[in-house]
Amino acid sequence: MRKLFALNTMNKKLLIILMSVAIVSTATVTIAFSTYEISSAKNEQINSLNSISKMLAPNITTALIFQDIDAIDELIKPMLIRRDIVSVIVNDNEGRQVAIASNVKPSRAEEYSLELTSPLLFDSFQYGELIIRTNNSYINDRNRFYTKFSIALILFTFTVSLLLSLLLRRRFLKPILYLAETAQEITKSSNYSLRAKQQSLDEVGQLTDCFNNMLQTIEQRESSLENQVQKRTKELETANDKLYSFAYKDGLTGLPNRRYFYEKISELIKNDIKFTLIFLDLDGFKDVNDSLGHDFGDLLLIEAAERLKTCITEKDLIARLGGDEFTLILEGINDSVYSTKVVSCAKAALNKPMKIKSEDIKISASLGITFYPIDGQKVDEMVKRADQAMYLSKKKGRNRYEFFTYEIEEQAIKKRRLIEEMRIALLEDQFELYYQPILLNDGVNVDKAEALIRWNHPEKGMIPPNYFIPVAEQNGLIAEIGQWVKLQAIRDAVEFQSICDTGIQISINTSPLEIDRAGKWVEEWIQAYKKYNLAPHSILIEVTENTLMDPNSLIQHQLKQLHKAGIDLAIDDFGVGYSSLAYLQRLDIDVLKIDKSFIDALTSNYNNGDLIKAIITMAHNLDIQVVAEGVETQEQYTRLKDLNCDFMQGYLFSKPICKNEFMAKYINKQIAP
Amino acid sequence: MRTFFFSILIIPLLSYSSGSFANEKEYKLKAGFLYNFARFGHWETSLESNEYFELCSTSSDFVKVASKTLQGRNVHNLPILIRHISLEKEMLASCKMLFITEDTATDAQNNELILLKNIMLVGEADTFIENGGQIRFFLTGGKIRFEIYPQRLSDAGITMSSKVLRLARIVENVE
Repeated sequence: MRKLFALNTMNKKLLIILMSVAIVSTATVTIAFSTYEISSAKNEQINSLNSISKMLAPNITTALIFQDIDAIDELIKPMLIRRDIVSVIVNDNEGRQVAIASNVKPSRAEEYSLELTSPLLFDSFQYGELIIRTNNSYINDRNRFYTKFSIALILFTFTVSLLLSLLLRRRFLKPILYLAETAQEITKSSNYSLRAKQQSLDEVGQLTDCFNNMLQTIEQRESSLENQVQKRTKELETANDKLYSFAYKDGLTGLPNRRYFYEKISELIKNDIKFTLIFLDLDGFKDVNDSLGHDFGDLLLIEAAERLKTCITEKDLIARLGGDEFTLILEGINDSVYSTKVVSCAKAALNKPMKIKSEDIKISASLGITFYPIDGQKVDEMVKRADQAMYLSKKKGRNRYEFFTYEIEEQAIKKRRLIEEMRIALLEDQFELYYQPILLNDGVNVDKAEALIRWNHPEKGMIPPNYFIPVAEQNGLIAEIGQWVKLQAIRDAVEFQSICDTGIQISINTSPLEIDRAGKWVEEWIQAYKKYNLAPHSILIEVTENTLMDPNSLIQHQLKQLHKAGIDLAIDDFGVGYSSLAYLQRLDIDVLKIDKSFIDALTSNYNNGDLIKAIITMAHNLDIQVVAEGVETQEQYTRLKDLNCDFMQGYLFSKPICKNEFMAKYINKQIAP
Repeated sequence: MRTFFFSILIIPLLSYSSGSFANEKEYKLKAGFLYNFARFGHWETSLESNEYFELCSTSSDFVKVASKTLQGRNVHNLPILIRHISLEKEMLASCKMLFITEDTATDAQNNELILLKNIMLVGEADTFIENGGQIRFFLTGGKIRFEIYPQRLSDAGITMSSKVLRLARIVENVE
């Protein structure tokens, strides 16, 4: 109901306006008119009575003159027909009542509202007077009439204006309502191609024109916006593709990258789809990169990628993880037959000679194979195990493939555990230096001792170095171990020095991995040497031939510095490497240690004695002393002595022994005499 | 003022109907009526050339009473002159009004009165109108009323005001 009377539409508003105008104007006119009429009613009544008086007065006068009372009665009685006239009285000129006509009882004769007295004249002489008395009925009648008239007029106006308004409103509002309806339809449907028809030529018609023009503008704008959006979307899609490409593709080979690879195997594992994961690492790629340059390396990788592609189906995936590492995912496959076929193909494809920038290059690859879900159930597990298998291939001589086995993992676990234990050993000082005496060729006097590391494992007991040193070398721990050895050896040297004036030169093995190109290791030696104030020649550093392979290497300079600082240098395992003899002359080498293999062969092969003799002669000519390693028999000793070998080392004299024993046996013995 | 007194006088006289005193009163009243007839009458021939408005009567009594009653009055701006006459042509020539009392009515029953022009003929006798009169007094309910024969007045060249005609009993087709 409330909604019905709410002024929420133009329809209602216009109706209200039209009706209000009509009613207010009618009411105003009616009220003004009625007010005027009512106010003039009394005057009218008076005028009307005057007229009647004037009309009747001559006759009444005449009747009065002729004393004809009946005639007077006849004349005045009809006046009572008028409802407002209460009484009519005719008096003679002395004021005596001659005749009276009255509508009311004599008792109410005085109840009148107006009295009109007219003189009865003839020939300027007044013969009497005519008195007309009235009540308010005339005015009341008028009032009643005008009230009814006003109400009727207002009702009439209301009805007529309502009808007219309804008709006019419809005619007037139709174009506006139509326009509003069109606008609403456009808003609902968002169809800006709709147009409103012009229904009139007035302002609404102009509004319709403007509305249509606006729609056209909107439509054009929308269309241009849509085009722009499409263009932007396309650009975004392109950018997205690019981003996707950057994110998921390897820039060099165009193969899927590490991220894509991880997502792919995650997805496969998530959906529990079986697959084969192959890790592939190019052998000797670093050498190509180092020797021929990175651009060669890049071209090689591209070529390798192309070749690998030939070995897989569309369903399979090949990705580059980085560097020279590739992976292959064979989706839906986890049997060795097919995967062997693929890895064989890959191996063969890479083995074919390559020609890059007119250089012939031959490469190979080491591969590791794992199967999901047999070899692992998680992404990390699968990747780690494929890697382990691949490393096994490398370890077993490269250019081959290995399937992952749990043994590999066990070994890897062992290795990792070992590394951990080595760290703990360093912290808890579980390492110990053993010393093997190096005797003068008299077979009695000890001139040097080789420091050899031993590991006193709290649970496993004594662990030999060949068990943990290669692992330490692989994992970078060798530097820390080397550091420990160095410090311990220096301290021991100081101790030996303090007991025995002549001192015993301590020979220390140095891993090629400890030697850095920047020469930090040399500086450390020199500083430590100075710090502990060691006598010159207290330390003999053993390096392998391979360390000195590069004749232009900075290492030669470093070795010279060491020599200058009073540290002697020895070539360890001399004779088994690929070294040239030239460096013996160029570098300040103090000692050559002939490899045990030569000594072992000494007694079995006589010719071998000539080789050793030649080495010794050559060394002596270059003012280099010679140590024979691994002397185990008296015969060997005798032969070496005959060959004028300067020093002997081996089980014949002593196996490596702990420091205290060494000191007791060899240093204190020297002091004793 | 005199008119005023006259008006006052006539009212008590209305109750008298006989006897000399009564006659005098009646004559007075009738003189008043005659005076008023003269005032409401209109003579077609101009009265301006006359020196008087002559009211003639065949009754000397009436003339006496009327002379007193209407003394000093004017009709149509002419002073009233009341004359006692006999019904002779010469005597009637200057009369503008002739009142024939009942006692003198027989003299006038010669129908010649009809021929008189410009003279308002007023009488009392019952047959006055039949005998050629124009206005006749009669008594009704003790009051003097009158009847008028307008045609005859008109024939004599006189018109009576309609206001008086309203008060009179109109007589028609008496011939």
